Amino acid sequence: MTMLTVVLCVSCRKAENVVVNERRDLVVADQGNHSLIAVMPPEWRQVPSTEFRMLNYRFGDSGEVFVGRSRGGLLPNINRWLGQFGKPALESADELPTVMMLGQSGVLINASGDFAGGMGRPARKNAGLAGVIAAIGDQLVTVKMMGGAEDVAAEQERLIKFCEALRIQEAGEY
Amino acid sequence: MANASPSLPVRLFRFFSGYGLAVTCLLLLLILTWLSTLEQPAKGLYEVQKRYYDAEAWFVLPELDWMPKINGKPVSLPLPGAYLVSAVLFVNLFLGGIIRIRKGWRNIGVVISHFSMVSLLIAGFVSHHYSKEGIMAVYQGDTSDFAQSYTEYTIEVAEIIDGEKTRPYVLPTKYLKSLAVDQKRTFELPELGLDLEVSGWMRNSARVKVDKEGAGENVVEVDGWALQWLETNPTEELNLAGCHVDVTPKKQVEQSKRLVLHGGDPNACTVTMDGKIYGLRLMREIWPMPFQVRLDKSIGEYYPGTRKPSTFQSDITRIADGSEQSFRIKMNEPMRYGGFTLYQARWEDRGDRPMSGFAIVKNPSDQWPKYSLYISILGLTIHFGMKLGGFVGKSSKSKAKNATSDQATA
Repeated sequence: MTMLTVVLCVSCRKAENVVVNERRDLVVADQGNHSLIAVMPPEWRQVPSTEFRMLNYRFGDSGEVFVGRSRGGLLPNINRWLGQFGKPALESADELPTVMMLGQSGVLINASGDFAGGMGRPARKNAGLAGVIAAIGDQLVTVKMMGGAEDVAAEQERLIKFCEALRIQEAGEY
Repeated sequence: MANASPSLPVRLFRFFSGYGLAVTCLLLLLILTWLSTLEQPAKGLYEVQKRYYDAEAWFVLPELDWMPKINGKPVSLPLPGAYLVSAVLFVNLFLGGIIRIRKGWRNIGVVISHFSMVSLLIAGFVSHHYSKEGIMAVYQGDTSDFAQSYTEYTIEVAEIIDGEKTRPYVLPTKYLKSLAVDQKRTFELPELGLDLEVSGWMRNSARVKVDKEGAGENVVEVDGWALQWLETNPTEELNLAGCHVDVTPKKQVEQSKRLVLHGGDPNACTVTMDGKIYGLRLMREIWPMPFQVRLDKSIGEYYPGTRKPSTFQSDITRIADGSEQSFRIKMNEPMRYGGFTLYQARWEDRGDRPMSGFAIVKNPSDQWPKYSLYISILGLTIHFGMKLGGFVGKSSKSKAKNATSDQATA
C-alpha cells in the first residue's frame, strides 16, 4: 500500500500555484502568419493552422472549417469539391447562391452524402460539405466546412456570417 | 611564552583573503572552462552553460566520453560550479587584494588591478542576473518592434474580441521550464477568471496526428492531435516544447477544457468560456521594443557552396519617439540605443527577400568589462612603470657607483 501511495504521488507531482498578472504590449508578431482577420463564432475552436490551412477550426465532435488559398479557376474547384461527394460536375457557377466575402461575391457550395476521402481525410458516410469560394485578385480564397451532414447543415448560418466578417488586415493594424 | 593562536574570525579572514584560495579558485575556473568547452559539442551550449555556470549549479559532474564508465554513466569527481567559484574569488579578491593588502604608494598599481578584477566579477554577476537577449528577424522592407527569445518558452493567454487579439497574459518561463514531464502546475489568471493547469511538459516534442479511437489510454488526444516526446537536441534553439493545458473557469460554470500546445504551432488554440474566446499559444518569449526597426537594405554573401554567411550588413531606420534615424549595422559594429544593443547575428537570402537577424541585448553591465580592462591597464601600467623606474634608477646608481670605484682604483 505504501509503495502504491509513493508511486501515485510521484506520477502526479503538483508544484505550487503561480498567479499571473503580467501582460505584454501587442507587437507586429501578433498579426499572425497571414493577412486575414476572422471573427469566429464562440461555438467553434481554433486549432493550429497547417501548410494548406491558413485558418483552421473545429466544431462539435468532428466538424471542421478551414480557410485556404487555391488556384486553378472557380469552376474546377467547385467541381472538385462536388466530385468528392460523387456529385455531377456543374457547367456553370451562375446558379449557385452567393455570399459576400472579402469584398467580393463568392459562391456557396453544398453537398452531402458519402465523402470519398481525400487531402488526408478518410472516406465517410453521411457527410456534409458547405463552402464558399471567392476570387480575390489572381487567386481563390476558400472557406470549407466538413463534418456530419446534419452538423454541417446546422452550422451553415454561422459559416456564412464567418465568411461575411472575414477581412484583410491593414498595414500596421494589431 | 608561546604566542596565542589566532581567533577563529582571524583565521577565517586569513583563509578567505589568502593566496592559496585565490590560486585554487583560478585553477578551478580554468578546469571548469576547459571541461565545459570539451562538453559543448556533444551537449550543446545552452545545456553546458546551465550545468556549469548557472547560479543554481552549485556542483557539476563532468560527463565526457573518455571518462571511465559504470553502467554507461561516466564516473567523475564533482566540481564546484563556476558561479560558486566566482563568488568565492570575489570575496577573496576583495578581502585580500583590497582590504588586507599592504597600503602605500608602492602598491597602488596592484590595488587598482585587484579592483579591476573585482569590478569584472561584479559585471559578470549583473550580466548573469539582469541581462536579457533575443533575436529580431526582419525581412527587407519590413518593420519590426519586438525580439524573441532563442530558447525560453512561455504560454500566452489573450482574449480574442471581434477576431482581434488583446494584450496577452504571459506565464513566467521559469515556472514552465522547471516542470518535469510528470509534474503539474496551476497558473491562476485572476483578471481573466481562469485557471490553467499545465502538465506533460516536454522540452522537445512533435505534434502528431492520432486516430481518436486508436489512441492508447496514456495518449492525450485533442481534436485528433497528440504530442510525441523527443530526445533533447543539443542545439537548444531547435527544441520545440510541448505541453497539455487544462483551462478551468474560476466560477466553475463550465467544465475544464483541455488543449494540446506545441512550440511549433504558428497560431493560438482557442477555448470558449462563458461566451468569451481565449487564445492560448506556447511560444518563445516575446520582448516588445521601445523602438521600431525598418530594414531598408540587407546585404550579405555565403561561403561558396554553403548556406553559411561569410559577411553581412544592414541599412536600417530606427523609428522612436516620432523620429527616424538611419544606421548601418555591420559585423562587430552594433547599434546602441536606450540601453539596448543590436548586433547583426544572422543573414539569409532564400530568393524572395533577404532577412537580417539582429541579436538584441539589454545588459546593464554591457560596457563594464571594457571599463574594468581600462582600470586594469592603468593599475598594471602604474605597477610595472614603478618597477621599471625603480630598476632603471637602481641600475643607474649601480653604474655610477661602479664608475666611481673604477676611477678610485685607477
